[in-house]
Amino acid sequence: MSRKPYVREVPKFTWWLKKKFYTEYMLREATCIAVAIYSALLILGLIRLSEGPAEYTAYLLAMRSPLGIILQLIILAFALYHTITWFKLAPKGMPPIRIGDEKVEPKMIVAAHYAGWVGVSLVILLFVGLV
Amino acid sequence: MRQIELEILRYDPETDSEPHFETYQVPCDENWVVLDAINHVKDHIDRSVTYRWSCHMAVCGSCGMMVNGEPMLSCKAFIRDYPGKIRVEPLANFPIEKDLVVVMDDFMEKLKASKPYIIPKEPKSVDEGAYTQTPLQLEAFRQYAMCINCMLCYAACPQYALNDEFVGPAALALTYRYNMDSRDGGKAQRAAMFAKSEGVWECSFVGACSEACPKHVDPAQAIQLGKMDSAIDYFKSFLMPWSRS
Repeated sequence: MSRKPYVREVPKFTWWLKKKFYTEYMLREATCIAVAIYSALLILGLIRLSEGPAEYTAYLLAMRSPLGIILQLIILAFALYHTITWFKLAPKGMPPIRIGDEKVEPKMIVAAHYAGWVGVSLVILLFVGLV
Repeated sequence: MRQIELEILRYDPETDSEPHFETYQVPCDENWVVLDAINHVKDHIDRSVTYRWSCHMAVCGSCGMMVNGEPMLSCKAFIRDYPGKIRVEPLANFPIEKDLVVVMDDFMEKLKASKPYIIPKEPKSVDEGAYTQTPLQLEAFRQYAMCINCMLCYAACPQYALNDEFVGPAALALTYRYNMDSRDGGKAQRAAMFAKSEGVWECSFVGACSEACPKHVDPAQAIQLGKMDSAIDYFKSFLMPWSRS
C-alpha cells in the first residue's frame, strides 16, 4: 500500500480566531501596544516639560480633554488586561522558589506580584502627594 | 444508556482525495469514554475505522485525537462531559495517515534529536554503583519526566501549526528534564537543538501545550525556564569563556 498523507491547512492569518484560548493569547500580546503608546505619551510629556511652561500646560490640557481622557481610559483597560494575564503566567516564567524544604505555591507568586503592584502604586501616589 | 451521535473524520489514502465526516449512532454506557464509543463503532458498525490505542488508562499516549476540537486522550475523555454530539478528528497539526491515525515521523525525529536519556558526566562502571540522587534533585525535573509522548501538546500549539521546524513542546520539555538532572552531563550536546531559534526561542508562550497536557507536565514552563537557562549560557560564554562546557 502506498502512503498518501493528507495535510490539513492552517489559516495563516486567522488561526487565532478559531479558539478562545488563542484569541486571549493574541489580546494579551496585542495589548502591549497600548502600554507602548502610554509610555510614548509620558515621554512626550517630558519633552513638553523641557520646552517650557506654556508647552507643558498645553500638553496637560490635551491629556485632560475629553478625547485625552477617553484615550487614557482605553489604554488603562488594555494595560490592566495585559498586567493581569501576565501576572497569571508569572509562575511559569520563573525558576521554582523554595523556602526551606517547601516549594512556593504558584498562587503565592502571583499574589506577590499583586502585592508588588499595590506597593509600587502607593509609593507613586505618595510621591505625587495623593496619599 | 445514552444514544450519542459520533462523527468521525474518515480518510482513506487509497480512495479519498480529502477527509470527510461520517456519523455513527452509538449506544453508550454513562461511564464510557470516547475511546469506548469508537471501539463500539469498530466492533459493531464499521470495522474499517482506523485509530491507535493501547492501554485505555492514560499511560501509553497512543489514543490522542481531537475531541470536539480539543486535543484529548480519547481514553480520558468521558462521554458524560459532552452533552451534545461528539466529533472526533485526528490530532491537529500532523498529516493524516488514515482516519484517526496521524503521521508522527516528525515528532519521532525531534524526540530522538533531543537525546532524552542520561548522558553521564563521567562514565561509571557497574561495580562503582548507581548514580544517586536526593529527593530535592529529583524535584528539579520530576514533573517534566511524566511525559508520555502523546503529542497532544503539538496538536494544541499554534506555533507548531504555523512552523513545523519548531522543535515543539514535548521534545523541549524532555530536553530540559535531562538538562536539569543532577546525574546528567549532556547539556552541551543538546544545546544545538534546544537553544536554536527553532528551539525554545520559537515559543511565544501561548501556553496551550500546558492546558492540553494530560499528565500535567507543563511544557510551557519548561520552555520558559529553558529560555532563561539558554540566555544565561549565552552571556556566560562572553563573560566566562573558560566555563563553556
